[in-house]
Amino acid sequence: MHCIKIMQCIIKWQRGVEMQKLGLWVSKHRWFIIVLFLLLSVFMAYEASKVQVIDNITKYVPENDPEISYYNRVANRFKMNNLVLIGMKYHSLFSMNSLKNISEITKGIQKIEGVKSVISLTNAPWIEDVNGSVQVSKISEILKGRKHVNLKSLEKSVMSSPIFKGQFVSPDGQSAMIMVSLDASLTEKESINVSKKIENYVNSYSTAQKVYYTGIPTSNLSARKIALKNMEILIPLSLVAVAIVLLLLFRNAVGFLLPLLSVILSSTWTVGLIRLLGYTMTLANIAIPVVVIALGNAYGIYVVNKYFEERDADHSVRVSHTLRDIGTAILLSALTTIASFLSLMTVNIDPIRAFGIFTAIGISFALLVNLLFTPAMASFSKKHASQGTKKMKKCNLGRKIANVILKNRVAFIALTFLAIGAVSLFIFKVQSDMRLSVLLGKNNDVVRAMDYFNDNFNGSDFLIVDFKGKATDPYLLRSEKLISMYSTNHFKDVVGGTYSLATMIQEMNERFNDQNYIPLQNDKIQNLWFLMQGNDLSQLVDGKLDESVEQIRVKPISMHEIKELREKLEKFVNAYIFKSYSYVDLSNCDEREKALAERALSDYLKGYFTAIDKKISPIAIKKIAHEVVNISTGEILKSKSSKVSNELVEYLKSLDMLDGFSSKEISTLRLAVEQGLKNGYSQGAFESTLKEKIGEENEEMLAPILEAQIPALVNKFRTEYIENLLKEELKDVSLSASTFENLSLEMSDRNVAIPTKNGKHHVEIGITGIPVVYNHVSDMLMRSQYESMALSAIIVFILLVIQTSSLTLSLIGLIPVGLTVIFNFSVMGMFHIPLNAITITIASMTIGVGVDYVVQIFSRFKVEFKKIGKVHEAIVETFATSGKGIVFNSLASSMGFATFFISNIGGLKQFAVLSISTMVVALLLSVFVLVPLLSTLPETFYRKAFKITKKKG
Amino acid sequence: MKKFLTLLSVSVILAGIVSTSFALTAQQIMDKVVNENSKFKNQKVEMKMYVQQKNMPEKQYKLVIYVYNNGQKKYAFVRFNYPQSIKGMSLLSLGKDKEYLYMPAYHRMQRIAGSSKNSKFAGSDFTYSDLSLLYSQKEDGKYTLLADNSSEYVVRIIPSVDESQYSKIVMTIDKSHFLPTKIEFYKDGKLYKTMKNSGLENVDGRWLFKNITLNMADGSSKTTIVLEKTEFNLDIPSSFFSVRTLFMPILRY
Repeated sequence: MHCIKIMQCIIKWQRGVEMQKLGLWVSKHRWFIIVLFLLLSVFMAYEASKVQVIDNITKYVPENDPEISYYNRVANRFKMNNLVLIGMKYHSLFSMNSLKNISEITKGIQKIEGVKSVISLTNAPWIEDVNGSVQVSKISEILKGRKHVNLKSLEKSVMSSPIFKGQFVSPDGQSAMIMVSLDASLTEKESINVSKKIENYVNSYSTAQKVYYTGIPTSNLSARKIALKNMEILIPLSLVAVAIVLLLLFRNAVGFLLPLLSVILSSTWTVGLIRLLGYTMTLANIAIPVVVIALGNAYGIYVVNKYFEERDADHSVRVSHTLRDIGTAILLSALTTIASFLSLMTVNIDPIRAFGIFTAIGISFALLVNLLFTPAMASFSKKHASQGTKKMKKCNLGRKIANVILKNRVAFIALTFLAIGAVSLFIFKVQSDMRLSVLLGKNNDVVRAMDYFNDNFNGSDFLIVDFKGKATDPYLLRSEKLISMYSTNHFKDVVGGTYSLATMIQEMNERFNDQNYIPLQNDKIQNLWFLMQGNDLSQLVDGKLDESVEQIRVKPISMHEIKELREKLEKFVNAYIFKSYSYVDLSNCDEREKALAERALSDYLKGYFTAIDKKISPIAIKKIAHEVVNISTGEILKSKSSKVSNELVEYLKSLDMLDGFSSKEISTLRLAVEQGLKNGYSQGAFESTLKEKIGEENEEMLAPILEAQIPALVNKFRTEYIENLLKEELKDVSLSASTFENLSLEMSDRNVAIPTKNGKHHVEIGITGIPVVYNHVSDMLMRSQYESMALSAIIVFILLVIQTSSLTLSLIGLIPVGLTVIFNFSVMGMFHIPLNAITITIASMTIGVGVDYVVQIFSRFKVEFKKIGKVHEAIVETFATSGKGIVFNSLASSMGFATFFISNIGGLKQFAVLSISTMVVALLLSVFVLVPLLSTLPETFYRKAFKITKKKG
Repeated sequence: MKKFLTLLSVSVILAGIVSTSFALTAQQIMDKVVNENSKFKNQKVEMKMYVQQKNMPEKQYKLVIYVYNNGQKKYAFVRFNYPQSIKGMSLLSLGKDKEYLYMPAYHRMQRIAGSSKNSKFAGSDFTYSDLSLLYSQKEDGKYTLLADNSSEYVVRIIPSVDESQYSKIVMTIDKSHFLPTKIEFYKDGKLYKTMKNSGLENVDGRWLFKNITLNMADGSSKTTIVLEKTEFNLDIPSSFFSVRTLFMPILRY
């Protein structure tokens, strides 16, 4: 309370003497002030002209934020932080010209400085069947190396490849996608410049019908273009809008020009300062100059209005009296607005904090200009109210309105509360959404490109599942596959496809070994991995092989669904994927290990069926696991010896190894092999049987091949056995043939991963990605909103206490402000306006602006009450004197904000709705709620509050 | 994979013959390098390959290569012996369209198509075409003698083949042994990588470099091949170069 008393003294002191002194000083040094301010403005305008607009969602939150630093680490490591996606729609994609065009563009982009890697249809690892032979190559090499390429066959292969279809070629086969990773060390500005070069290059050389660009750097480039274009249009237009209102209000050049000039100076200084301090503007704060123009003009209106009211012929007297009478009110009004914007400093999102700080600075500039420059300029005018305007005359309409309100004060209060109460139900519908597409609205290149990628490639963004563990570990790869299956089966509308090392390995295994699955034996994976060496897989696997990622392409149609996808994926990972595990070899393990393997297989099957969204009875799962673990290889060989023998002989024939053999010799060989297997296979016995039947020389030539093939054939027949078992146990479940095939192969492996506390193998799985960052920033936004609002309300309350010297009056003053905030949130809920980087500023602004009316009404009421001594009459006089000023202030600000409606940035249009709603509703509530509430307090209260000892006539 | 086998030819080329000529044209120099280094019936090379990429642990491979050369036909067999995870991985080339890959973990042999000339081999900086230049240059390159000093020839090669990834190759050839000591590979006019040979040694009367190092110009990686043991004209029958050998866990020669 001591502090408040001290502050009261200061304000009273300032009001009484200092403001008047300031007025005298201004009038004395008016030339100096004018020249200084104009020179400063020229300098600031020069700086403002060089201001940069750079937007990057990942830079919104401090880099040490755990979610952001995790994203940055993973995205940088896998070159996904600075990703540009280029979509190219061709008349005929699978024509030689189109494919060569893609190949040339892929190479061309690679040469652009700042480009780290490029991957496309033509340079991605391509596993090709050539007349029964397999090779790992690139389509670009095929195009170069062969004169006659069967394009139909190539199209068929590409469109049946899980690696290419949906990833590099749209599922309709019409569009190709090129993924470009920019160097992670580039600054935002450099990234934007590289994006620009890429766009220019592609636009020059592409023969595609249409080309689309998306990704953080290109979106930032588009956002910058959009933002700059908007600033170029909106700033002059808001000045015109404010000018129209000023012209209507003053109807003379001085009255029109001075408030207008004051906001031109203030907004120029603000933007100039942003540049001088080395800041850049973002989509979240391009509204700053317009907000300064819209709100700052009020101070000019008050000063010029009051100056015209002054009748003295001496300009010094007019200026000093003007500042003496309204200087404090303007100061307080500006302080509340500044405080409300500064409350945004509690938001831990840099551009919003910058918005709060620089708008507060802009308002401070408006205050400074209107306390010094505007009076200095006005002092050259000899005009009086009677000469130029009728505005200074007391308004009878104001009196009438005041009387009606006071007469029906209970009804007004009740109706207002009821109305606000009714609409407030919509508050619960307010959601935060930081997506660029939502912020920008629909009519722009960024969103059109996103729509194209969503429609043609089933997604324009990526969730990144990060696996810390040995990238080529078989169980880890299977986990990638499970996650892929889960996300694609459970979130069909959101997930467009997945891409991981597991996808590549499985594809390789199918092409090389006709086995469409991920084997659980390390040596098999290593064999496949070896064949992939030399291909650029840096977007999937870390060079040290200790970390890998799975890219889940998503359509960011709704942040809620992305959030749900992430949460459910995390639950799935926690429930079904072992984080620490060892392997058990079923062909060489004890009973305890068998039991563990059986349990682990059951768990794996549960995860597998959950991933494909099938409900299987636990009994069936247990039975399958038991059977799989206890299959006997010996029994399989015995029961299938004839088949195995036939297959081995056919295999030898396919290798031309039996070219010199007669039919009889082949038949003998077949029987010998069959016999060797029937007796229970052992290498020594098998070789003896062969020697005996086909001779030593033939045995020596054929045995190595036969022996090498037996395990593969055992595996094959084991798989057949398991497939039959699965079909029997799961006959009531609708499963595709490929699922049966895949699961049978997985179950046929003799290695099983079992969870162990201190297992030899470990994996840590995390989920990140730009959509996750958007959600995180949105959540932060929601939390920050409450904090900034509370801080704003507290500061405003303190300022009101200083002004009114009364806690009761200050609390009453907060009521219309609070109701305006509630109304605004209701509007957001009602019209599905999300809380985003732009709209978050509204609540604080509402408090600051709403309290302006309260300050103006309190200030005038205090003066009138001191004069009249009666509450009713003082309120009527307050309306008569200040009513129009307040209304025109509201109108001018609303007109300024209304210019946002012509912006093509959706977020600014929403801002316009909310800020105009604030200006109008805050005014209405001040009139219909504050005034009736003030009238309920007795005169004794005011006399005490205003320290009036004698009743004045 | 076929092109990998041309890698083998490096060894062949490196096993040079001392020969001195004067006033040779670039074409004649290159012919001499190729011809003088192909005079053998068969060859076995045991080598180590080290691949060092920036900020990565070094990868090490041990492999053995067998080459059969009867003037008309060239066969080759490659087997990896290290690291353990790929031990037994084998490649066999019996000429165009007769190439095979053996994957020991699967006990399967797969007929494979000729790999892309520009593909990297086993994650190294060598492409299959890098060292096969000398074979194709006669038809596909334009040669210019850039320098002819007392000890070296410097020949510029502008590949004329469409699929070549290089815009220019500059080869420094040791005059005494007709062995390339340095090869610079250029892409789009900029130096892309440099191969340097060192450790000149005479094996069975043939000169060869034991160490071949390939450095990427951007410093991103370096590959070193060390020829540990080279033997010529062993008693290896042509039947050794058959699919059967792929399945053999232990090689006889």
